[in-house]
Amino acid sequence: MSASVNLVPLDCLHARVRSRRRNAWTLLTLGAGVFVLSVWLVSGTASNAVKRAGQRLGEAQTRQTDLNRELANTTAARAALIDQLRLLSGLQREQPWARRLAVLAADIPPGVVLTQVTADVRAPRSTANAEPLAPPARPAPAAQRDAGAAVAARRQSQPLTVQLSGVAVDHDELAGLIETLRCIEGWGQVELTRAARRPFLNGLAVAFQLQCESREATP
Amino acid sequence: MIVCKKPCTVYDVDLAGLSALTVLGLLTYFAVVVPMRMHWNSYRDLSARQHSSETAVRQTGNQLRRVEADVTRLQAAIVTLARQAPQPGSLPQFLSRATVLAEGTQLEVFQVIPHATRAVDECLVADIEMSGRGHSLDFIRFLDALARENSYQSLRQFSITRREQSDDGLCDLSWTIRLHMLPLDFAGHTEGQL
Repeated sequence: MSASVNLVPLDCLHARVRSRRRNAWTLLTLGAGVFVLSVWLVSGTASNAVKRAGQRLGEAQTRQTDLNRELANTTAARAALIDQLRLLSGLQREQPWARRLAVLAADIPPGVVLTQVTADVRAPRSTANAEPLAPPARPAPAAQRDAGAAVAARRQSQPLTVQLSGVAVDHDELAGLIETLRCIEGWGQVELTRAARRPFLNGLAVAFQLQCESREATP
Repeated sequence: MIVCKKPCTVYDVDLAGLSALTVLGLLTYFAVVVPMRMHWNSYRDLSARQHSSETAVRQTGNQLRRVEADVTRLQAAIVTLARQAPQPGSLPQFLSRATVLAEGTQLEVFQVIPHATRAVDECLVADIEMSGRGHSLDFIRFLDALARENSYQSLRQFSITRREQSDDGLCDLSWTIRLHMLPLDFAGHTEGQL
């Protein structure tokens, strides 16, 4: 059995412990400081990344603005071209009269003789107010579109008046002619405006006058 | 210096170290964490906006390409149609051709009266009155030939009158044709061309 006595004074022991703790705290604080500093430095690059993202967004927005402007211009150009195309297409007209007259000549009842066929386009207001040849002024696209629609509407609503005069052997033949006319495409309305018996060759015949109207494209 | 002895011995350096760490923690929070969080939010927001903006750019680009393709097709169609359509100065040529066609279908043309060119509904029109004599079927043939050759004209008026004292079936004919022409300012035309 042995006995030991610590002869180091208590103050010295405390001073040593305190010194070790101070060193430990210093190291810990320094380490934490270095860590915080490095994190702070890294956060600077995050700021740069945000700045770069902002720049990229700005570039994309500029590109979008340019594209929108270009698209608006191209769309306006396309609208103008469509108006030109509509105008060009509007120059071409349907040609129904050769066909109609051929059908009439082929299907006319044998007891009917036509002495006169006349057709006339009733002057629409637009034609009556036709402008004299003036220096051209290109209208705005919207106005051109409106004008194109108006032209199309007017073309479709121009009434035609066709008058047929002749003689028929009897009223049945005349009725057959009216039926034939009604079957011809585009002549929906056929009106008998005059029918009277009168001497013809060696007997009597029915002199008649018919009027047809249609609401289709200009003949 | 000992600050407290129980339950454990705490020295003044412990307090100083704890204080330093606390200050450092607060500094880290306000100088690093808060700005980092703000940057991250901004970055996320900007990235989302950039993504949607790039999508919009792509869509607008596609739309622009489609419209440009339309424009190209329309231009080609307009060039083709404008080449076929009567120009403002093509009335004499049409008159001559109509007369030739009428004579070619055995019609006897007595009179051709061209009226002044005028502007109607954004295009130029010129009415041509013609009169003559012939069989009604020949007149139909003439109309058919004219329609096949030129679809830019329309018949405005016609009259077929059978002669009372005629046994040969000849009719007095009169008709008015309207020629539809391109306007003066279409596709670079100038006033002087008419």
